[in-house]
Amino acid sequence: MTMEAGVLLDLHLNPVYWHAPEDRTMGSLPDSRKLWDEIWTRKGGVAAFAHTHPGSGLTGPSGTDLTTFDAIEKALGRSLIWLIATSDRVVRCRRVRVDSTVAPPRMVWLTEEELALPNPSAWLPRLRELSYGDKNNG
Amino acid sequence: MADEQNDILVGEARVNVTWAGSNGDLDQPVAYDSGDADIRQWVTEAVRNGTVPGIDADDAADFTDFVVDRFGPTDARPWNLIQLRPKTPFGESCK
Repeated sequence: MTMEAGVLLDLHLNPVYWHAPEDRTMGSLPDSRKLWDEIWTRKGGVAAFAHTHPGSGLTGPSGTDLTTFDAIEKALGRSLIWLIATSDRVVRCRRVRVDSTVAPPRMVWLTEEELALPNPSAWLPRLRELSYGDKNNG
Repeated sequence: MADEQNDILVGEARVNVTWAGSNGDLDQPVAYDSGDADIRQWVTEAVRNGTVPGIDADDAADFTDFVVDRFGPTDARPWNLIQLRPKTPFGESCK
């Protein structure tokens, strides 16, 4: 059975904390003080957080994902790399500045397929195993 | 009775907040049973005004998506603690 899972990655994109709380579901990871403590304890040593969505193909962040990305970055005072994996693809979300001649600049989230991520073997197979089971761990 | 070292009365709590990579305590304790919305408002005003030791003033401080955690006293920390930290849930998206 598919269950969402996450992993915190250090500056070399090596896993430092696997996030698979007991109360996770097929479509969500619940609010977790433990996850925030793991991020805050490492502060500058954390580069990215990856989590899974059910199914295959390209995915995109949910509204909950985006407000969580935003809140964590506000608390840290810096950006993280936000990755979302399905059983066969990975996307990366980042905030970009949009300039306009008729409105003040604003920041929006951009989602792109991540095709050149360094060191995926260090965490992606295990993350998929935690989410989808042994059959989808490549 | 106040905690002698911290001047925090029973029924009060120290408020700790993390913002922009820094962490600090409000300079005054609050009632432990204060509502979440009130706590967010007090913290927002304090950070915007620059009155939280250790956290630089930030006009853009916004704690809308932060969670209020409450902790009772312990042997090591004999007073109530309220912490404001970012929420951390993730959810499935429509493709």
